[in-house]
Order: sequence, then structure tokens, then C-alpha cells
Amino acid sequence: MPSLEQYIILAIILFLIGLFGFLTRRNLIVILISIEIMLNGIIVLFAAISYFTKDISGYIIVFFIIAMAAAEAAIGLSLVVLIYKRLRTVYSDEITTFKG
Amino acid sequence: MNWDLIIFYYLAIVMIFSSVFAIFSRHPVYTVLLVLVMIIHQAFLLLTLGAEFLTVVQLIVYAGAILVLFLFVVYLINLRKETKRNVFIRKISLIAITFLVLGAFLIANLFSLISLKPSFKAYLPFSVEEKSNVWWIANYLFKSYLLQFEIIGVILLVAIFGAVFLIRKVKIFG
Amino acid sequence: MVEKHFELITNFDIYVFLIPFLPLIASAITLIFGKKYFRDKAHLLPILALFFSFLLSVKVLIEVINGKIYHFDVYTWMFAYDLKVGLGFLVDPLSAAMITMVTCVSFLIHVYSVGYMGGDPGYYRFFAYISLFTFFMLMLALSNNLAELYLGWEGVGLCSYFLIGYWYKKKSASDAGKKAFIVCRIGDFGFALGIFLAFYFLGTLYYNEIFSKLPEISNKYIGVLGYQVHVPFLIAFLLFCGAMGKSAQFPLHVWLPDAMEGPTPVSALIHAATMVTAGVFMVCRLNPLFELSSAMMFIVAIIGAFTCFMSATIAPTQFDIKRVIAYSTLSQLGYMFMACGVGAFIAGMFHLLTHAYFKALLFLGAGSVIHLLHHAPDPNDIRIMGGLKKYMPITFWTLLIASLSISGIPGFAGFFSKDEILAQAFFSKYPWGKFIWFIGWVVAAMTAFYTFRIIFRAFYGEFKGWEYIHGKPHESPRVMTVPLIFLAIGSIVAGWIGIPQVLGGRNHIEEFLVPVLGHPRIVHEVSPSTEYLLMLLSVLAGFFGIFLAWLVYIKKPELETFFSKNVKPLYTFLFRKWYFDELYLCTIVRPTLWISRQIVVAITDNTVIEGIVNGSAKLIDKTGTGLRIIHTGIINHYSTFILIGIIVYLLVYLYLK
Repeated sequence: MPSLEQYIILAIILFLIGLFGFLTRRNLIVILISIEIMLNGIIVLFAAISYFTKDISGYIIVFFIIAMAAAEAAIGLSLVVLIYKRLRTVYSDEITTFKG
Repeated sequence: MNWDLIIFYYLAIVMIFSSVFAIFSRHPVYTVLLVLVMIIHQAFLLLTLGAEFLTVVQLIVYAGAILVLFLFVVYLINLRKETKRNVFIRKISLIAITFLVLGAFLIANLFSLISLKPSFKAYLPFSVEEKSNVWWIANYLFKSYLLQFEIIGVILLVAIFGAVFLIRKVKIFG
Repeated sequence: MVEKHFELITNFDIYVFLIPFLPLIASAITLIFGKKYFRDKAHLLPILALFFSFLLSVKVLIEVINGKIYHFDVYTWMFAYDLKVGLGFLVDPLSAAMITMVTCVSFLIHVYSVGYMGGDPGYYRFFAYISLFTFFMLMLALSNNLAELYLGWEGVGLCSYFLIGYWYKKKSASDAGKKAFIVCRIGDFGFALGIFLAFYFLGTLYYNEIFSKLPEISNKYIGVLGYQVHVPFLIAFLLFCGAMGKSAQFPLHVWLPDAMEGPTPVSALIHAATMVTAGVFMVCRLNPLFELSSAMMFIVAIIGAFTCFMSATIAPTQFDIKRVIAYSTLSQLGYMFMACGVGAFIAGMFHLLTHAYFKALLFLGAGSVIHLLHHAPDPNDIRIMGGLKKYMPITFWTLLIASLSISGIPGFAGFFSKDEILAQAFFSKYPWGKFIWFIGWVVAAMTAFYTFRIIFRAFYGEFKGWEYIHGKPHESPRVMTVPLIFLAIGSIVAGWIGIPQVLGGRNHIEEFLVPVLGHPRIVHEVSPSTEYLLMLLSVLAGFFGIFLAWLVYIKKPELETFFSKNVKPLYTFLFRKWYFDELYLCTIVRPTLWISRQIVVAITDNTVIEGIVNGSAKLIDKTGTGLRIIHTGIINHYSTFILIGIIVYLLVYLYLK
């Protein structure tokens, strides 16, 4: 069984990868996907901690995260659709209505 | 052979690489599919951690619903391969620096988290193998954490309403 | 000293408290509600308040005559480490006499103003200010410590500014108001320094404590700029600076003639009876301090004498009736200071009380004539008056009584008070007493001359102002003449409280004021024959002045221009008021204006203040423009900022707990 440190390292790496994508990509959909990657990293973290402390709360949190991710993806994607309908683009640097 | 470790490393490496490729790819569909790979491997990781219920839940909800939703939207707005454009925004270097700072910070503080000791005052003595993961989760979900459960239900409800509400026809100004 | 922090008043003390506060309340109500609700009836509340104040003052006076003294604090005003000052009242013979005079004269002038100021658009404002002024004057008179005295001092100066510039749309009036306030301010600065020094050396500001501690500093010297200066002299000199400003003595006298731009009731109240006498009151109140330093007494006497003489030489040349009476006031104030300077404080106060009556009467009578001619371009000019004796009998007779009083004709009030001053000056223990007596004697003749010049010019001869009035000249309405009659009675009767013993009287006022002001400082027992001789001399001087005026203005009118033609340079010097205004203009006003334009306007106004005001706006503009760069509209940038915020928060949380 790998030790807790290894699981935590994995979780942090996944989180950072997702964060990098979130900060860097221009495509709005890929930004949303990066958020999902971040959430998955957190899922790994909580599950590992729960396993090692024998506390059920971690798994419950994982359950809730999954449900919440679904809700958030739904809303986020409908907003992307709206932006596409209005502005004909999904690239963040072409959406400049809030500039200035 | 320490199968646990081998499986763990395999799953971990595939997860990491698929997510890296996912955020570096040009085609949005490739991104979604690579994330799908990552999700499946993560589900198996959860399985090794003894949470079979959560594995299945993740596969059904995450892989089966959310990513499908993403694909729908990708097709809806007809995204093509980004050939003429940059993948990343300009001035990526500034962001990368900030990012590295956070990364370094997190990893540096990693070891303060390591001193977690198993707390035996917790709910579940995991070594008791008679009850399954489903049993334990259901036991605590509907008793101790009932409020949070209901709240999650409300969140999902709001999300449904929100999605429907946002897509209604609005007058476009200008 | 009985000292309570917020004492609940026993049944008598509240009457003393009400004396100044009734006019204050009336003034505040009239000022706030006057424009809309009172309008033409704005005089009701102040007159009512002042009438009750007067009755209360009389009651208090009777109590003080019977020997009671009030001394209490109402509440603690300032309390800072060593300094403890309360709002308090001290009613002893001196202040009882003062407040009775002030409330009486103020009440009569309020009644007079109903007629004089009727129809003026700022009617309510006038009454509010006059009542406010009465409040401050009463606070000044009733104070029991130097800080409260200063409060009243400044307050009367402020009200004087308001009232002089009452017709503020007229430039000369508002200029005169400013001049009065600024010149007074110079004196008040010295006054404040005096108060600071008094506190520094004596440790207290209450009168009774100061008087008990005076022997400690009587021989102290302090080094100022290398010279050893006697401390009581320094304190008294600085306090006297304030008196010079407020009572318009040389060199700060220039504001009083210009103050005639205000309405005549104002001139009567403020610049004849009350405010200008505040300086004399202060000197009399602090007489132990002044007597510690004979150099100071000399200065007081000499300045009084100089002012007396100077204004008596200017007065006969002026053609504006109010200016003549203003210079007459300056002259009589000089008399009072001369009295104080030779140690005759009681005589000085006595003259103050009688002077209030006949001077106010002179002003109000002149106002009566001015009111008749108020359509003229310059209604004060005596050259358009004449022959009013048959048209305005009451005004004529009352003015005649006032003029006889001021000239020192026996039987009238002025004779007794002026004679007291001259006698005590002659017999004073101070060496300059005889010189003072001589100046006073000469000026008495001049006083009679210029006062009767006015009477003869205005009431005899031919009326020259036909084109400025409708129909025939007529007497003023009763609301204006009745106060004149009362003041005339006062001008006669007020002197009878001081009939000296050589003439068979008991000299009540000297008995009354001795506990506060001390016995007269005369060198040895006075022989009655010398006193009769002095009295005769001053009466002769008075008659001589009247005779000369009659000669020039009635018998041989051609003598009128004799002086101005033959001794032209001297005449011009006197006519131009000894060139003081021009002197001050060149030496003080112009350099100050130059400095202010070059330095203050250029540096502080343009650079500092504009810099701060405009600069702060520019700073915000530039900051905003600079910060706008952050608003790019690109989501990724915004998320980066969120990340930076989270990092900062984490760092702070983890490392700076």
C-alpha cells in the first residue's frame, strides 16, 4: 500500500496541472475541463486521507464533490452556450466586453 | 511482487500524463477524451482505496454524464481544431511564474500535512470487513450528514433550473 | 470660593444667572425665527427680555447696597491639569453698578430702535444682534475670572462688527466693520498674552485668587530680550493693550470714528455706553494689579491724556455730527483713563456711569435729527441742518441737557463726575497728577466748545435741508422721544449719587465702591478752599467754551472760517485727524497687503492649497488610469489575480499569525 505522502503528492500534482490549464488556455470549454481535473485531484486527496485515518467523512466529501461537480458543469456549460450565442466565440481573449 | 504499489504507480502515471496531454492538446475533443481516460483511472484508484461504491458513482456520474455533456456542447458550438491560433493566452510567462510559486509553496508545506495520525475516535473502524463501503456511506449519509445531503439535492435542483432558465430565448441587443 | 460643579441653584442665584441669559435667549429665538415669523414684530421679545433683566439688575443692586455679595460658579468650563476655569458670576458693588447701567441704557435704546429702524429689511437681525451684544456685555461685567472676561470681550467685539457693518451692502460700512474688528484684534492679542502670563505667574484666573496672590509677584522680574522687566508691569501692560483696542485709545483709536457707519442706536449703545467702557471696567476691576507698578499707572494716565487732548482738537473741525460725538467719546474715555492713571478709580467709574447717560442721549438725539433727514445724501452733515429748535422741541431740550452735562455745568451729572476726576487728579499722590489736571481742564473748555458748536449749528439759524424732506421738519415719533426724556432725566440725576462732601452731599458712590476700588489715593487731607477753587476753574472753563461757541456761531458767523483760513496747515492737520489713518495705511496696511500678495497668495494659496486640491484630484485620476490596466476583460488574467490573492492570504495566515 503506498504511503499517504505518495497519494498527497499525486493529488497536488493533479491539482497543479488543472490549475495551470485553468489559468492558461484560451478556450472556455478547456477551462471548464481544467476545473474538473482540479476537482479530481481533490477527490484523490480526500479519499486517501479518509483511508488512512479510517474516517468516513472523507468519502462522504468525495460523494458530495462529485454531485457538486455535476451541477457546476451544467451551469458552466449553459453559460458557455449563451456566450457563444451572443458573441459567436468561445475564446477568452476575444471576449472583451468588460475591458477597461 | 508488491502489486499494490505497481498498480498505484501505473494509475498515477497514466492519470498525470493524460491530464497533461489534455491541457496541451489543440483539439477540444481530444481534451475531453483524455480527461475521460483520467477519470477512469481515477475511479480505479478509488477502488484500490476500498471505496467501491464511489468508484461506480464516479464512473456513472462523471464519466457517463458530465463528460458526455461536455462533448455535446463541443459539438453544439462546432469547435474545430485550433490551427490558426495559439493554444495558450499571451503573456503566459507571468502566469507560469505565479503558478510555480503556488506549486512550490504547496509542496513545501506538504510535510506538515504528513503528520496525520489515524484517529481512532472516528466513525469507521475500517478493519471491520463485514460491512461494505455502500453500507457505511449510506449509514452516515442519511443519518449524520442528512442536512448536507439535502443541501446537495437543492444545489442540483438549482442547477437544473438554472440551466433551463439560462437558455431561454432572450432579446439580443444590438 | 464656593465651587460646585453643576450646582443646583438656590432661589436667589438664579436671578443673577437670568440677567445675562434672558437677552441671550431672546436673541437666539429672534435670530432663528425672526425672518419668517417675527418680521416686523421682532422687537417684542428682546425688549421684554431686557426689561426683565433691568428689573433683576435693580433688585440685585438693592441687595448689594445692603451688603450682600454673590460669588458662585455655575459650571466648570475648562479643566486642564492646573487650569480650572468655571462659568461664574461675581456680583459686587462694581459689577452691580455696571449691569444696572448697561441694562437700563440698553433697554432704552431697544425702545428707541423700534422707531429708528422701523421699515428696515433686516429688522429682526438688528434686534437679535443688539440683544446678543447685551448678553456679552453682561457676561463681561458679571465675570469672576479672566477667561470669562475674555469671552465677553471677544463677544462684544464680534457683535460690534456685526452691527457696524449692519448695512452690509454699503461698502464703507462693511469696511468700517472690518477695520473695527481687526484693530480691536490687535489689542485682544495683547490681552490674551496678558492672560497667559497671569496664569503662568499666578497659577489661577479667578479674581479673588489673583488678588490674594499678587504680593508674591510684586517684586519679580523677568528677562525679556535682555532687559529685566517687572512682572506686574508686563502683565498689566499686555492687558492694557486690550483696553487700548477696545476703548479706542491711542494708538488703536482709528476704528471708532469709522464705526459711525453703523446705525445710530448702535453707536449709542456700543460706542458710547458699553463696549468702549469695557476697557475702563477691566482696569478698575484689576486695580490692585495695576497699582503694583507705578510705571503702568503712568502709561495709563499718559495715554488717556493724549487721546483726550488729540480727539478734543479734532472734534471742532468735523462736519459729520456723529463723528463729532465719536471724538467726544474718545475724549471722555481719555478722561476715564486719566482718572485710573492717577489712582482715582472710583471717580473713573463714576464718570463712566454718568457718561453713559449723556453720551447715549447725545447720540440718540443726533439720531433723531438724522432720522428726519434720512433722504439726504449725507444726513449726518451739520451744514444742512439749522433752525430746528422750533420744529423739534423735545429733541432740542434733551440735547441741550446732555450738552450742559458734558460741559460740566453745575447741577448736571457731568459736572459732579468730571469735577471728581479733576480734583482727585490734582491731589493725587502720583507725581503726574497735576499735569493730568491741567490737560483735563483745558480739554473741558474744548469739550464745551465743540459740543455747543453742534447745538448751535443744528438748532439755531436757518434750516438748509428743505430739499431733502417732505413738508416741514417734524418731531420724531414718541417711541423715539420718550427714551430721550428718560436719558435726559438720567443725565441730571445720575450725578446726584456722587455729590462731594464739600458741597454738602454724602458721596454715596464713593462709599459704595470703596470696598472694591479702594480709597482715593490722595496725598494728604484736602483743604476745602482748594477744592472750591478747582471747581470754580472747571466751571469757568465750561462757560468759556460755551461763550466761545456762541460767539463764533451765533454772534459773528464770519468768525467761523477764521481759523481754517489763517492757520491753514494746522487746520488741515486737525481736519485730517492728525493723519493717523494715512500713517497706518502707509506703514502697516500697505506692507501687509504686499506681503500677503507676494508671499501668502503666491505660495500658500496657489501652490499649497491649489496643489492639494487639484493635486488630489489628479492623483486619483492617475491612480485610476493606472489601475485600469488590470481590467483586461480576459478571464485568465482575472483568475490569476484570484490566485495571487489566495497565495497572499495563505502566506499571511501561515506566517503572520
